[in-house]
Amino acid sequence: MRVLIVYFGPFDVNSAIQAYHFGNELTATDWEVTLCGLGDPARMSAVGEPRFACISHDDLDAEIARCKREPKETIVFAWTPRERVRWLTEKVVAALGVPYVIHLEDNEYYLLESATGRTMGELQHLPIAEQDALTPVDLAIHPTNHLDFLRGATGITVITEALNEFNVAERPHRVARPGIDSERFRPDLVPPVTRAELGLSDEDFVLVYHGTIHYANQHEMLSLYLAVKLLQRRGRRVKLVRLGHTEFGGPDPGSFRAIADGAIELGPVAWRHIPNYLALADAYVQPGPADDFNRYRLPSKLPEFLAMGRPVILPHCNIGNDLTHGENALLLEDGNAMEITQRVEDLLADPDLAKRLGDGSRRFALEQLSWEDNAAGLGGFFQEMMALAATAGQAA
Amino acid sequence: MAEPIRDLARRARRFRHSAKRTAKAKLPPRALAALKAVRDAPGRARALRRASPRVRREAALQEVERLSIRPLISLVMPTYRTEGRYLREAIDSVLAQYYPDWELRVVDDGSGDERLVATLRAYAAADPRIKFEARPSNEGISAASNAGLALCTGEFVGFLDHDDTLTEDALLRVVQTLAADPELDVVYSDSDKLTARGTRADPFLKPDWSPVYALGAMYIGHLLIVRRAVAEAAGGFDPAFDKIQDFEFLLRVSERTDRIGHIPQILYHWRAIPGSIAAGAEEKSGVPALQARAVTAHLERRGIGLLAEPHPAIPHRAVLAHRDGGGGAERVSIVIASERGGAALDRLLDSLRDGGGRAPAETIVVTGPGAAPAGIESRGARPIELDGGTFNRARANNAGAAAASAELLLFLAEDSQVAEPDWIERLAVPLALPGVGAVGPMLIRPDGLVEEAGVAIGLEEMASPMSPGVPADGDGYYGSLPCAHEVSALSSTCMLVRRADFEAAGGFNEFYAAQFEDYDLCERLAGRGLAAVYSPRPAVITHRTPAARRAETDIVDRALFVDCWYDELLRADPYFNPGFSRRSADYAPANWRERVHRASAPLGRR
Repeated sequence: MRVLIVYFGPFDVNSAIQAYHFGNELTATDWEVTLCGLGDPARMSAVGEPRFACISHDDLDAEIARCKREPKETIVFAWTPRERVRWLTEKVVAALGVPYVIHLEDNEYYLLESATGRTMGELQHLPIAEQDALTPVDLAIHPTNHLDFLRGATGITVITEALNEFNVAERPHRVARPGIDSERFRPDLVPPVTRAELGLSDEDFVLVYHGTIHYANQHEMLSLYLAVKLLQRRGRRVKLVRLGHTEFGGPDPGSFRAIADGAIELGPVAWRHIPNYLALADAYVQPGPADDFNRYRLPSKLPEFLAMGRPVILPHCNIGNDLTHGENALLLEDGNAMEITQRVEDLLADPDLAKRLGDGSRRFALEQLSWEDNAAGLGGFFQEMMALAATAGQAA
Repeated sequence: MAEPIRDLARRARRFRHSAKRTAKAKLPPRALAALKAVRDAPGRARALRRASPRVRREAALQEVERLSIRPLISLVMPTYRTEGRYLREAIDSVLAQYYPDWELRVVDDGSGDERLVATLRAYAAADPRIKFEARPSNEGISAASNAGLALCTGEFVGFLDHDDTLTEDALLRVVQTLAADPELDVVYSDSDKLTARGTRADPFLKPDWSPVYALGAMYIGHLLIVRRAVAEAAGGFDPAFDKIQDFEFLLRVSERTDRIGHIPQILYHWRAIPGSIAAGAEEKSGVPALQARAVTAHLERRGIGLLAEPHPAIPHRAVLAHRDGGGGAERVSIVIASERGGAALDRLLDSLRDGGGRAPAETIVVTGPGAAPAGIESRGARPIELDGGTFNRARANNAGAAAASAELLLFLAEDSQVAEPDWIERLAVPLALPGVGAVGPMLIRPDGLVEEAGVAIGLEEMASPMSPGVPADGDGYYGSLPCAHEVSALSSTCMLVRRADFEAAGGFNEFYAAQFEDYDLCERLAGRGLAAVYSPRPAVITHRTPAARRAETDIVDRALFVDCWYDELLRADPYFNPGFSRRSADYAPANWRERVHRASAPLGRR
């Protein structure tokens, strides 16, 4: 069986890492996998060595021709309903007459509205030509076209159950949760730099956060930086080590910049080095509220945090719904600086709690975030959908 | 996800930039380019006005096509011996509206001016949307307006004076606002004046709906659009209040609805010619007394035990007082946080003793451990010492509030000083109004200049004192000093709050070490539907200098305020028009650079 993954972005960003792991695991179970992404497929080497074919969007016609020459039971896995993915998927479907499954990993309405500055209702009232012109095809859905695209799918996969709200045609769906490479992310890793080299002492309680600060997460990142300052003001020896690009913004970039002053900023770090840097931490915090943005996404760093065997503080939504407060994580409701401060103080006050949470989070990662198991589930869903499509085709 | 999100806004801008090519084939290349520039420009409405008329109209008509609702708007225009050129300008401004679904109802109030009547008949004959009625005798502007109202068939009615003009996009912006919030019953806009020479002057950049401010000043003015059913239910205009009939009408409308929206754009040009209020409030004699009578009647109808009277020095502004001449029945506990006591506290306690008027139920002074000044009880104060830990104002004031026994809590900073008799009674007046949660007085410096008349949020300093450095006895910005009005925040230098509201809001947030806890409390009260109100009376002296204020800024407290109220700070302060500069809350208009920067700021979240 063959699965052609039509993916919206370049080969070395977070979602591509998931596609890489799914691709490798499916290949190991006798699927023929091709990942069709944006730009140079060689960039996949930044993630790892794929055991499947990687092609660029420009090579899709040749891939379609190959599939015609070498017929095989095939399904298309459209990674998001974004406009370019729709174009490419429909091209394959038209040429090969195969079914497709759409993967939802974000609140696409939020992303489109943020990109255009207009509500979905406003966008859908525009003439189609204007909708076409406003849609950033690589990065967002088309206000109208995505609806028929979703209706035409045989099935839907979602990264978190809440996203099934966007399954407008109520197609069969499955949660396709990412996994974690629990060998690469494990508790006993040695950091690439010592605490002393970073100016940290053994008494410091260190939080490590890897990820870019951008316009969509500026508020929650302000909350994290501010929580560290509030803890320090309350006499706690808490330090923040951060990796990634930084863009201060929001209503008061000046105060954001000022409170970030005491953090240890290491800048962008290649993904392969991330696990060792995470080993610097005593705990991890994913800031932010359980709101309409976080409810529909699963930040890729959360499985990585959970696998590291340290306490994790995260919003009570998406994967947080499957964790238990006080057992394998501390869950945030408001996700603001004051709540983060209180949760970190809970850890500082109770070392046993910290140890229990760390063990619990690692156990959760091993049990629930196995690439092998999750890919097997996905492969099974593909087979179901191919059978469903075949049945529907015969009935027609 | 990080990389796509980072690129999203930039990519979207690029796509938007190329978006408009297809639809404008009818326009010549230069006009097409201009239209494209207009549509891509940040601050679109303002950019539209700078474009050529043809480009403006083309872009606006496309906006009309996109409207999700198209209500008929009836405009009522009473006329009386109007100068011909002004009348033509007024009607032409209606004919020039981008939004086409309007009707104009002109009623001549028995002016006997045949040329005027002929002009109006000609307009009515030329456009079926215009109807004209000549009344046989002069019965006054309210009667004429009511006659016009009776001719209306639209879902909404608006009012246009016979010598004023609308901007071309006025009705389009109104309908866009109604489309965004179909529950609105009333919409009003900013306005400016047309001088006798036809030049524009004195922009009035108004706050969002401020019912307390509306009691002291005719601030709504024009453009005013009201759902016709509401206008009719309110009974139209009352001839007994001619000269301020629109002000009095709005008071009655506000008794029926609080769904009142504001468009922070100048959509109305008010002709300032001799004899009109636009030329000066004193031009129409008897206005102050009429205004006070209208407000008093309004308060009576609402069952509020207050009355209005003309401001003693600025009579066209109304000020409120308790109807019985007293200060209300509720008792007041004064809470003063003072870490170590000292001369400032002595000065404040002396001023309280000498202030006169109603005595507080008690005065509580909260100090650090072992810091209660000796003999403080003999000065009428009850000392409370915090039991260790860090002394901060939020914690001290909460401790004082917990120990207080009265229904009203009055927080005073130790570097303040009261200087007026009856100051507690006066400060308590706005609390008698429904929906008011906290009241703060005018804070003045020892030299008599204003230090703070309320606090605006979301400006460069995140929380900025309003009207700093101006003479305390002036009118401020359209009555901002002599009239009580809603503000987003108040300083606990002097703040009166009902104890029950304070407790329900959780008191002061003790995460704040030194600052912003008072502004934070006001935001939490606002979240419970309770407004913070600046009161012009009394004036309270603050000895904290502006330089000291700046030097004291605690960046962690400021960031905490931002974290707690991120969305509110991203949005414009509802009581401080976005057309003002963000550098200071001194009501200076924003310059072009500020406006562009604001319009192009990246979108936020939460």
